[in-house]
Amino acid sequence: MTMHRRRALSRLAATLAVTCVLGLTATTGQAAGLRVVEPDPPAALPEFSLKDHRGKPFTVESLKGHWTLASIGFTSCPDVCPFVLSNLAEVVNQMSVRVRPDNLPKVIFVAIDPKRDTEVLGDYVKHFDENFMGVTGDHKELAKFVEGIDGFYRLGKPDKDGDYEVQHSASVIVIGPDARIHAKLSPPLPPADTAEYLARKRITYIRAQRNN
Amino acid sequence: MNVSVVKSCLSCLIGAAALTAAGSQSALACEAHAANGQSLQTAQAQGHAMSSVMAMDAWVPVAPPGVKAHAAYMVLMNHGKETRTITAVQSPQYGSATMHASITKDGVTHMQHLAAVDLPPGPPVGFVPGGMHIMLMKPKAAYKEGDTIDLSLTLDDGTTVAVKATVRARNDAPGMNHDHMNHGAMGHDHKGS
Repeated sequence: MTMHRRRALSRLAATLAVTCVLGLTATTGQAAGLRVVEPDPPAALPEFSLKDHRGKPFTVESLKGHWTLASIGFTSCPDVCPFVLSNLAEVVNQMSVRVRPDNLPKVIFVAIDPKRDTEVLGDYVKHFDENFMGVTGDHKELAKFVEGIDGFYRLGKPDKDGDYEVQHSASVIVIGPDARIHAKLSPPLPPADTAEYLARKRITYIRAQRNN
Repeated sequence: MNVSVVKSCLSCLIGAAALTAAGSQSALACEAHAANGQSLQTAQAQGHAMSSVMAMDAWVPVAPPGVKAHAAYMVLMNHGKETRTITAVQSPQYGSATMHASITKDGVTHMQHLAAVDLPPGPPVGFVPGGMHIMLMKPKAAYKEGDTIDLSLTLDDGTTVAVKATVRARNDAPGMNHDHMNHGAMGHDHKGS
């Protein structure tokens, strides 16, 4: 896959200058380009009350003061969710050559199947990156947050084995330090393109704050 | 042996000829793939005819701890003349194995169970991340990088294809470090042709 191949190439080029990685993007990024939808103006979030994987409260306040990338999924999702998280780990990795560690976006995994997710959530997110955060709660609060970030999820009725179908939004939501939704990214997220987009977004935001 | 085999992959033909000569040998590796260090095992079930289907680059991304649903990916090629259909998948290392497709429609993703998957002759059929995958449930142990997962694909003609999938880091899909095959993309760059 193009995404994987590019990631491999980027890794090979890790010792080269950043400009080389960008150059690679310029030549191969055309077909895989990042798909972004930006709400204008950035959309505010409703109040919600969730918990992170350590059991600490996670609310709108938890989103303030830093950029957040939110991905909706469930831990028993074998295919798409782990690849999106792995993809986001690479995005953050690529951003780390552009911005200071304390300015990197925080990645949250919104786990919408709390019955199965809660117990394994901490280990699950750390499998992808030590700094990733899992967030879950009861369905009433999850629905508030998920709808607030323009997402969707639905758990099907359990079959005779207790298995059930799960549907959920595939997009990654970009939340600004103002706890507003600044963008919605559709996977796959080409790591270099996405990192560059997010770094620019951050600078644009800082400039706008200064002008206000 | 038929002409399409010759056209598809010379090294497989050689291997198959050796197999015929050896008579009872059960495993056959395509030299072109084996030379690239790819996991490839096409075996015939006891007492059944040689399957025309080959599996390449089979892998299972290492799963996060505690997660009970894993996925296997691979590329399959049917070197025969007729379409074959996968009707069942099994692994002794998992409680269940089923075929699924991840489908994203209007920005919402869900998994669709596939009762059967057709393998037309010629073009490769990919089980790739975000597309079709073999969902492996109820692992019997915690598998780590480097472990081998045995899979058995049952085909509609009664043959089975034994596949050895390697557990690998998720960002280390097979085929990344060489130009032998471009997974999921157009066409199959088969150097042995």
